[in-house]
Amino acid sequence: MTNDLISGYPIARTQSVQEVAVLLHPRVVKKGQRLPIEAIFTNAPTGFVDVAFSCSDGQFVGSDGSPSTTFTTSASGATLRGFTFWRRAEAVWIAPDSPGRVTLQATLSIPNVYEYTPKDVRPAGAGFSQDETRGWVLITADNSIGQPLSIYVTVEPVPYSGGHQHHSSGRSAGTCTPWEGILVGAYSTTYIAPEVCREAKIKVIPSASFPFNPQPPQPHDTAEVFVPGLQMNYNDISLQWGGLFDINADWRPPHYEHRRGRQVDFSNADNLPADLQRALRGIIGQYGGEVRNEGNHWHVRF
Amino acid sequence: MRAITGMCVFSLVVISCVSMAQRATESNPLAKRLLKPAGAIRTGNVDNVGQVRHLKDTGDYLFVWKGLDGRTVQATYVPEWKAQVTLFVSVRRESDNTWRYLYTLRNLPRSPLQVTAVYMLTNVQPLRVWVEKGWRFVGVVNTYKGKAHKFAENLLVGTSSPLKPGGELRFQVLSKYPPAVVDCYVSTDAPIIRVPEEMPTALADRLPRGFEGGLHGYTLAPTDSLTPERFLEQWRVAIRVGWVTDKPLARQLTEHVEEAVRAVGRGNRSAARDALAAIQKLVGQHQKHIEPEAQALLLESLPYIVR
Repeated sequence: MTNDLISGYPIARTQSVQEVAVLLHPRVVKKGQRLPIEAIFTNAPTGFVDVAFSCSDGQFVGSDGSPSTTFTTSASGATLRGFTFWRRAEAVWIAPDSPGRVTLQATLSIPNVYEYTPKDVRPAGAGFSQDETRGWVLITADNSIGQPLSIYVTVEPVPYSGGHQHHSSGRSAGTCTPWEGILVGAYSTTYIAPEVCREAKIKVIPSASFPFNPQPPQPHDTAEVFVPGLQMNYNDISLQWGGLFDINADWRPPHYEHRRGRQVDFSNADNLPADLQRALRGIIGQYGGEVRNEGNHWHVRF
Repeated sequence: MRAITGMCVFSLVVISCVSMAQRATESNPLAKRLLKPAGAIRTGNVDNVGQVRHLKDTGDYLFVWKGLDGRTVQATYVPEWKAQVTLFVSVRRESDNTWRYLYTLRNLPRSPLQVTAVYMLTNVQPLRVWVEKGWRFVGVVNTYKGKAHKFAENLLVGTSSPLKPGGELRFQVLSKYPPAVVDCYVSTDAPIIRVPEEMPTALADRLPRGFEGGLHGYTLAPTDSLTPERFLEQWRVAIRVGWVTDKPLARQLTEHVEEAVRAVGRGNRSAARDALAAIQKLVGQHQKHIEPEAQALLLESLPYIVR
């Protein structure tokens, strides 16, 4: 009795896993038969990478000779074909005693999931210096044999970060320069923040790309201040981390400013008596501010 | 000594005496004493987002840019510095070794705006302050330029009002410190620029901020940090702004001032006193060419240093 067919399939894709086809020869085996199988990974990183074999039925011969439903080994070889490396892993599989269709899988774990979140990078277009809007990203690998690893850098925004209370795929994540290269021990790239920014995740992987996210004003940027006998409301000073304050949750102005806490809107200033308006304006000027009347509120900038 | 920082209404008798003394010393034409615009607005195209135009007929500025919906929008900025304002000060030594500062703020009849506040940069708490009705001494306030004496319309009483064109406001400060040249800034009630939507930042950057939107000038105020070096700097400011109207006289006085300051620096009090005596003599001979502010510096501040 033989299994009618056992075939290799492209495998799971996760953050740290690369797809692979498991090659099996022959494709029809006898029950209990021991067969060498191999997995070939394209575009794989060099260095020590783990390959985990698994099967829906049957067992693998473990490194100590005992049978197991899974088997982990290291990928070998690093054949450069074109611009990508090909890696190979081998295992010995024991066919099950009962007939049926069996799926064999092999997944490759990249030594590190190279995630870097630049800290304290300020949004572009908010008056911060170039240095403040850029983050230096140093990438290191634990491929101790020091072979080159071709990498891609991806950037994704952290949802709802920076005070934005909305989230969509339209949110810019910023860029990295360069986007790709060859990692040998260490590699550096520069993260350049966009206008809407709080934090971004930078991922370094041999291939694949990752999606992204966004957010809005939070209640804590609204507060109250008092002028003689009257309550004044002010709002929209800045998002938590600055940058474009898209009050309409569309990644666009009307707020050109309000990007780093130097501007504020006084929502009811226009309703104050004339003498209090003069006094308020005087106090704003006294502290180096400037006032514009935007119809239903005062826009004040310092 | 008692420090009074609140508003005091002074008697008509006092004000009339002071007023006569002040007017007698105001020899300079008003036009020469006008406070100047503290800032400036650059006109022309702005980073491809809009432009700023100066409207020569009104003195206002037109800000033009493309709005969020693509249509051209514009707003008119009326600078506070359109007001025509003068600020005079004379200083009188009192019998108790204090100094009385007598200020007269005038909003000239042709001024198109009302004056709302005056700031004089000094950190000295006055011993006493008198202000005419409707205004008050707010106190020694923090500003982005430093501490300042602030005088403003008094919102705490029903009669508050800005200083109208043609109006005059007098106030006095009593201090135990001698006069020094300080910056003064004047705010007016120019209408706040109305914009249909938020102005692009590059364009908004052209708008003056803080005191830059108003008037600027120099006046005298008490200082507790007068040194020979600082006095010399202040004297040069006084010459530059025209408080000595005769140039040869200004040069002559400056030479004596420098001599006195050098002598004080060397510790040679005798030489300093000689220079001071020469200055006092010149001031006595040429009073009409020396504004009260310059006289106060020479006759009150310099002796304070020499002593």
